[in-house]
Amino acid sequence: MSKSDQKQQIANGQGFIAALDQSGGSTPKALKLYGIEEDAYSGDEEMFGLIHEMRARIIKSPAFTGDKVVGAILFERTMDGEIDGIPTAQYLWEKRQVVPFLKVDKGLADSENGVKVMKPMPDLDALLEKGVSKGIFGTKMRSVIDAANPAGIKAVVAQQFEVGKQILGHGLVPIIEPEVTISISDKAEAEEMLLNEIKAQLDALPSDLDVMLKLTLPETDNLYKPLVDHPRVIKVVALSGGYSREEANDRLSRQTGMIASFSRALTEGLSAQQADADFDATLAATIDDIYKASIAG
Amino acid sequence: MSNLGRPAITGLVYFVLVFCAGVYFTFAAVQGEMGLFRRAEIAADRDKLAAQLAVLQKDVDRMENLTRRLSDDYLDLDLLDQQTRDVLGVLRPDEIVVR
Repeated sequence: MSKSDQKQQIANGQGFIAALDQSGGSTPKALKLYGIEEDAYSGDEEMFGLIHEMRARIIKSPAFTGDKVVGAILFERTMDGEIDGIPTAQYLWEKRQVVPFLKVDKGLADSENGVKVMKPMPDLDALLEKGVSKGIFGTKMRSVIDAANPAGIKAVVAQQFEVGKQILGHGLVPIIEPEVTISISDKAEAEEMLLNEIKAQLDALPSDLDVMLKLTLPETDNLYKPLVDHPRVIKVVALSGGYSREEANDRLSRQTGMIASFSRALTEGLSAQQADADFDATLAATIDDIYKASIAG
Repeated sequence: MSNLGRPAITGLVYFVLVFCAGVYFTFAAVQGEMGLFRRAEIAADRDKLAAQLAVLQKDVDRMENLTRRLSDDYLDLDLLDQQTRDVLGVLRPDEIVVR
């Protein structure tokens, strides 16, 4: 049970890739949504302990298995944690058959040429080595495209693939995520440029290196089909980028071969006070909803 | 003889009046408050304001998108991570800031 099985599960991709985390700044809000008020804990450590418990409860829920959730994207703090004494990533794969990914980018640089590239990641190698030791299968890193600017889009894709090769060097599979902002007027044009830049980078990849792509749902149906069919691409996943759930699901169902990777927290409707049965039922409904959209494409 | 003289004066006065009215209306039609120049000025203002409206609408769309993705019933974790770093300056203990 190893990398090849994980790769196979992602490639077959009957399901979606969930995001399981949010960074420290918003944990009080996430806990409040979950029904835990700020007076119920004191100090960061206790706070992060509670949020980790919530995540563990989600991961251990019967509905959260590889049948519908093919992968899960973790933040570094969650990867460092454990569930029932097992490192989170290892637990995800061995107990739930969910492929673990790690978010490695450290935020975005200032806007330039209509895009935001990733901030430098000086300690990326150390982070990747830790990820490998904890059983991580792949990584995820995000840049943002705010305009159909050829120079900007070229810079975004070049940086993504450059860091991607560094990640491949550690034996991990990078999810390359150049997000196109959905509210820009020249979105279709930007997506056309993005498609050509990615295709050029993929054609230049050696034959033994494969990547994944996480792309905004396009204006033109099946625009990214050439990338879905590209030999160097294991899977193309879709990000909703702000579309309502209905529109996101509708657009996704018109993209052949793409599955969802909505980073909407799975915590919608969940609360600490719920009995396990209600908690599991609510989570199952949320998972079902996104799962159906993923396989409709 | 005097009768002949009166019609000529009346005609002259009538012509002068009509001519003055024509000049006035021509001037008003070109320079006046409702004239051509004013119309061109208003059209230019309209185009400028329309362009401003488009820019503002684009900003509104962008902000609505960001607000939506950070709302309670729709939490986009990528954007959340980006905002906590940009706005709150959140950093992990083992991270290094490279300016």
